[in-house]
Amino acid sequence: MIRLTQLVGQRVLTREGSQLVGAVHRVLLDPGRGMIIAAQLQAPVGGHSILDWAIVESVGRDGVVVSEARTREPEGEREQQLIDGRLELFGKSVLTEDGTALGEIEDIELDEVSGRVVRLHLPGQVLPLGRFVAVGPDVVIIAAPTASSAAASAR
Amino acid sequence: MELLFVLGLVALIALLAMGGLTFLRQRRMGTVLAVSPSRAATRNRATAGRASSAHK
Amino acid sequence: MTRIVRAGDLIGMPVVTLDEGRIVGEVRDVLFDPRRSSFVGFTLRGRGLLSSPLLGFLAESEVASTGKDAVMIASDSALMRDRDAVKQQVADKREAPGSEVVTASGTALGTINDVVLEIGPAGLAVVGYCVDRGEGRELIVPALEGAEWDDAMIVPDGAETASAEGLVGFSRILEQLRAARGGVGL
Repeated sequence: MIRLTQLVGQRVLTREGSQLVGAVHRVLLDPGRGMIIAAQLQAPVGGHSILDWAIVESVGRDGVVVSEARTREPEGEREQQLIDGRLELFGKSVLTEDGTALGEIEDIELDEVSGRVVRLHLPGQVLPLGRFVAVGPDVVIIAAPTASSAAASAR
Repeated sequence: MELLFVLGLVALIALLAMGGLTFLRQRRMGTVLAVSPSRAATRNRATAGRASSAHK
Repeated sequence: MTRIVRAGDLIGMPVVTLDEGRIVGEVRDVLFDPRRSSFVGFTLRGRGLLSSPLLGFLAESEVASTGKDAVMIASDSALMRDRDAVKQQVADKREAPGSEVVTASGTALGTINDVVLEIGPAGLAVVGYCVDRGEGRELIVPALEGAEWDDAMIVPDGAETASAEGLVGFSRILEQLRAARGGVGL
């Protein structure tokens, strides 16, 4: 597992030659699949800032390894929102789909191999989570936690 | 004299700003509204009904 | 699972789209039909002092969920934004707060403070009226069989005896009334 707080700021390197591609600045989540699909890089080599997560081979404490030094310009509304900082996850309010506020995102735990979200860290609780209802510019929406999962995860 | 004028101007601007804020707040104020037809509307519809049946 | 709330407490709540996680506005007015004791919808305003005071109308059927912190809708298209259509929805309206309440036999009960809504799996329903009796006293009268409303709201005789002083007490009264009638409806 790796936390988003640990992932942000990590260097992105190619496997062969360990060429520096940039550093992870923000990640773009696919809500339905609950996984990282792209990242916005900081100080990217070549000037393009979007990294497709599909080319990530491994994520460790010391860096993200990619198969090739390939970045591109943002495509589509969501990637543009990412670049504009509107999809920042830290501090984003979380609502259940029935309209209850759970607090602001403190951290997200991810499987470093698949890039899938595993747990959501909120004030006073850690929620096991497979997917989101929506990850938006104003709020993140999740399914209402079941009583047992909420009880098991309350700190 | 000039100081009085300036103070008066500042007070006027402050009053206008407060008035403006109050106006902005009031135009957004919501309430609980009942949407059954009012008595006047019911009366009008009844009158229209009688007028149209008189023409048959 | 149901809960009861005062309609006035819904004013100002953010309205959020489930497809995009976007706040499209906030609740401005809560509209109800006293004859059917039914919730009709919300009008919306923008967020912030300089935003639009009337953004649109959200019909009862378009509300996915009314939660403790937000009203959820499927998408932005749930909102009626056309100005003329919105005005049509709120035409023939009357402000509930301040309206007088009398019993069928003519006893003045007070003036309406607020309307009590029940939020359940099927949506929202009007279940009671908060009546200001003066001198800081408030009584919550159950919305029995829909209310007639001419110059004042007319409630059945006996509505006063079946009333409570707070929402918790009122919940119990609702349960008792429903148990007595053997069903859910009032």
